[in-house]
Amino acid sequence: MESPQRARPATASGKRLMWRRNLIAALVLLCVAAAYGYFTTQLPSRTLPNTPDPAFFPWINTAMLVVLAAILLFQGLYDKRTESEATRWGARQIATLLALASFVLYLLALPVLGFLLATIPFVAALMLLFGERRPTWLAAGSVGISVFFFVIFSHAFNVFLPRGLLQGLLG
Amino acid sequence: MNPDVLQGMAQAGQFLTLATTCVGVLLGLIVGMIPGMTISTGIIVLLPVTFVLPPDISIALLLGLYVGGMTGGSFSAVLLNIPGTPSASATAIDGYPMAARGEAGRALGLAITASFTGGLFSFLCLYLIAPLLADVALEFRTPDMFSLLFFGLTIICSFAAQSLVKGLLSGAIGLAIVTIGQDPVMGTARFTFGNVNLMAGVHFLTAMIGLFAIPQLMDNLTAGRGPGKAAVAQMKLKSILPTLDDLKAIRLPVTIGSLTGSFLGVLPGAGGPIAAFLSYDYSRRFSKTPDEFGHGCAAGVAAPEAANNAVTGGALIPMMTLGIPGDPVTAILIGALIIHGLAPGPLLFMERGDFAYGLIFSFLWANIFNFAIALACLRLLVKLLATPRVLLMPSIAVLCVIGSYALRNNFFDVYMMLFFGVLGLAMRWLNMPVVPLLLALVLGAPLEEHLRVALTSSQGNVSVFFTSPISLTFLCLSVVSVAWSLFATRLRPVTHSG
Repeated sequence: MESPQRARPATASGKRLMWRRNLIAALVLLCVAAAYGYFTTQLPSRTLPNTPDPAFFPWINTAMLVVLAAILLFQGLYDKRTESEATRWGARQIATLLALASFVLYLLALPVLGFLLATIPFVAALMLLFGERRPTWLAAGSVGISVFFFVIFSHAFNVFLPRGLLQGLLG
Repeated sequence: MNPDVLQGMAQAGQFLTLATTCVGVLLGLIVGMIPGMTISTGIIVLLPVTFVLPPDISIALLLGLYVGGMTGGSFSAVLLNIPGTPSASATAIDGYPMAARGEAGRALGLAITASFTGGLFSFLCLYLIAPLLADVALEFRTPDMFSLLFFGLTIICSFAAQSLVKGLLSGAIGLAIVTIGQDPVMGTARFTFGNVNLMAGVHFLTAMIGLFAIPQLMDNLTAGRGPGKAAVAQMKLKSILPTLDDLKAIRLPVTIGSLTGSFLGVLPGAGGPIAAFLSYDYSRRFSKTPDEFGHGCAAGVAAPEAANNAVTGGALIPMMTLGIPGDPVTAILIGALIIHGLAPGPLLFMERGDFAYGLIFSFLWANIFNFAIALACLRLLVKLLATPRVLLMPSIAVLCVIGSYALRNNFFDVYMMLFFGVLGLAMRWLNMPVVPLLLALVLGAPLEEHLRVALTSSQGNVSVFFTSPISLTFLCLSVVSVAWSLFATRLRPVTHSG
């Protein structure tokens, strides 16, 4: 009974990569836990005697984060039986970074340019990343999708999407 | 008859609710069918649309998507050997060989019929068991509620298939995130850094969109353009309706699938994939011709399909009566109910009995529509498999942004969505499961509230959790749940959550 989605066996180099990532993650999480713990000490103590204050639950979380991150660090340093293989950097990761960059630029442009003007280039960029190269399709798809969602959400669902530079035109 | 039952029946039977259920089922069939889309993502993307709808209609739409998605997953599993959802993985084992020898229509007809039967059986379980369980749950006091929620959190272990430490870390990060904002007992601002947008905490929906939809979008970047028109054109569907001989042949596997799915659906964390594989395995063991399994036999399609649709009703039982999600989709449904001002749990049946029964009957209608729409529109739906990703994925990206923005007409939520998207990608980079974080976001705040209220009322005495028989039972069940989860992960196929 073989699942069609069963993962292929991990290779030694892929496992090494995952150890390294586990180490980085453990160190980052330890720093996060330390910062979380520090801010927990700054919380005001407002409570009745013998009862938990607002910092009670965050302290439990801090302890959990520290212990679990320390175990991950220990596993990374001493226990080489890592569970899985890491995916390598390649075309896929570069495409992911480009898509994320488009997202960041889109979100920065959204309040200034408004929904329509910011969404059209964003959709076009994503279509390019998804492999569309025909200029007519790129133009039609990006304008079509942007206008479709603007009309649907603004008029059918009464969501006030930002107008930006087109404020005067769209009202 | 209980007046709430009658009101619920009437509510679910209203034209608008029925029409919405139909739309939900249709969307679910499409979402489930398209490889690279999961039911969870479908519901998350659709959730902002429900803001303008009344709660009963919203939940009917989402339930329709849940039920339709489970069946839709089998279409691509049978036709392309690519399960549309993890729950349809077992269906591909016998479904694809049937399609390969020219019996795609027969395999899909069997899958739809088995899904319908499994769904109906789980509706009966939901209708009969949920109100009884809610009555029992009304007796729970604060320490019992804490232990119950703690029991719910132990589901985390079943999603930590590859590394228990990473699963627990994911849950711990989620518990840390829910402490942002005003604390649930004293109202003290915590970790807000003077930002008024953080006073109400991190909104569940922005976190969900970021954690689920963004990584899925990125996953699809290199997944190609889908099967394409040529491949879809080759999928000839002859007779879809199962013959009497087929129906006789699938009686036992469907019964096994319905029982296994409903039972495992109730258990936190077991979910559709494991129910489908277990019922497949049991059906093979009880079959007179076990050698036919794996080579395109009707029972091999029917058993997992009955099971994964039976899981839906089973998972709704703990969600509605205890506020505990049985799987990621019910966790998202809890979030949807909270957005609409409803708190799933024992009080739902007492305070909003009409809504609770309306939900149960909407689930019944969703199963009926699923059967009818899947059979009637199968040929048309199959053509949608060729939907180009270049249009679908950018549309989902735009919907993610609109969904986060529409929540409070606030750009801060959009930025938070992107932050959670990056967090989701980082977790994927580390092979860290996202579902424990989601569960912690759902259960974290009430967990803290009940813990602190219980300790306040007992003057800080922790024995309060061990002296109450109900609380003690849940704590023992938590231990059993962890042990079961660890055992079940050995049986579970390696899949992404969803």
